Amino acid sequence: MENRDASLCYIVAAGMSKIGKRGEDGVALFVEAFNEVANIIEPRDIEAIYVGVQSERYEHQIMYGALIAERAGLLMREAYRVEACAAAGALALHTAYMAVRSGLHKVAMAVGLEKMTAKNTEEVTDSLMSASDYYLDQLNNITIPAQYAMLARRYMHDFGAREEDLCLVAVKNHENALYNPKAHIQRRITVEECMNSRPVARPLKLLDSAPISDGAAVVVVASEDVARRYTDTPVRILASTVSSDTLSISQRRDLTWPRAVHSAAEKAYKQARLKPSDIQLAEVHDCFTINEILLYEALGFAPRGRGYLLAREGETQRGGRISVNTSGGLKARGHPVGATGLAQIYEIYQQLTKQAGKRQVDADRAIAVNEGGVNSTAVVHVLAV
Amino acid sequence: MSSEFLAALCEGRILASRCSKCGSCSLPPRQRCPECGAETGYMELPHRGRIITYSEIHVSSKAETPYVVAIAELGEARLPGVVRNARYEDIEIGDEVEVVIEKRAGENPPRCWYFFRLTKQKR
Ligand SMILES: [Zn+2]
Repeated sequence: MENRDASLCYIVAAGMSKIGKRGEDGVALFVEAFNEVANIIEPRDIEAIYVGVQSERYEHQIMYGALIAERAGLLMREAYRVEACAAAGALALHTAYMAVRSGLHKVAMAVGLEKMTAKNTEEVTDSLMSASDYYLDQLNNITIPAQYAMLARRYMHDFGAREEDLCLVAVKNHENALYNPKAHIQRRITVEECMNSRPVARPLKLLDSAPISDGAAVVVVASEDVARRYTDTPVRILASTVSSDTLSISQRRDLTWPRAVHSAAEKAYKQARLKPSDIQLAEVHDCFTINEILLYEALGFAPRGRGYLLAREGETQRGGRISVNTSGGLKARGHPVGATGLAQIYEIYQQLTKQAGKRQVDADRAIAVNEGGVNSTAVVHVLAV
Repeated sequence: MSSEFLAALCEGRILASRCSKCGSCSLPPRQRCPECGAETGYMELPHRGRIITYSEIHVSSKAETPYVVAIAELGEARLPGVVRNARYEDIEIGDEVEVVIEKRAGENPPRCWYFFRLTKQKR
């Protein structure tokens, strides 16, 4: 039944720094995450390193491939950076997956990191804005939060969701983060607090938005023939897919349909030979609450226009029909942009290998959606034990 | 082809591209259709259209806040922009806007740009 293919590929170790407002620089946060995997695998076995980082504007640093190789004690390895704004982390994993599946390397490491909090909110907003279309959106000063806000406005208009429904996503994810000691924000919030928080881009408010965070995460991928040298519970990568959409949401025929996510998910379900109802656990890109709802629909967890009802009915709470963002999501675990995609994978790895402590759910098949821009680059991974 | 879009703006025209094969329209105009890869032709857009969505921005490094932005459907194409004469509460999806083209201040290009004016009467 199982397709025992020599090109199969497994996650054998994952590490993550504490996410938050950190005093250290980005590379020090990488070392913190790396130390967690260095106890599990033999670091010298790592043949290649792929690093996801959003922007050099935070630390005036590029060349992260060589820099990480240097700090990990892995000079002379193949090492380079990949970029797709907030999708950079999962894209680094996709690259490691390709390297191992192709047979080019037996062990590869994906790294994601970002050190953002040394800049103020306006500077961060400006840096993130380079992910949008220069002419259509940047010249009009249409920020990334405003693009998500315009999706939210249209979604509410078309399907009858209310601002309170968006806030329910934030409340759920804050609740989950209470049980995640590495989360940026460990504070319970209410719908009322969310509704009363100050506007960022109406109808989205501060508590609809992921915080600005520092953090790093690493994921080590190994081929079928070596994976069990490192662990008795390797997590299999059943699918790793990427799809692309326009940078500006204005150029999409159907505003509220995250088409690239749907496309990457369709490819992933096909690769994994699974359907949406087989998935028990998901980490999805809730940079703004509206996006978690849009992704429910794109992943096939709810019919079109009814994603907000999953939040309303508690179906995506921890232990619900599908546990979504048990880590706290971008919203409360935090959103160190380049690290986020791998922070999602870290959570799924902890859950599938039963190391998630107080937030442990019963799951053996999971999906992760990491995206960059405004669902412009979508990266989907399906993982299983 | 963004340069053609900018040059046309200074002549008071809004230039998009339309796919010769699937009919899909794009802004700014581009040589190949994003949907199917076929060659496109130019198409001029009307200066009036309807708002399909909007927001009011409260956090920005680029301009004094708050300001209202929207995406307007102009014929077959969709253009985002700033709505100068309205607050969030004034707008509903489906409202009509007019594109106003003006010379742009400062030394950095582009020389001409545009904004939206909500044309309906205030309720
Ligand atoms: Zn076409």
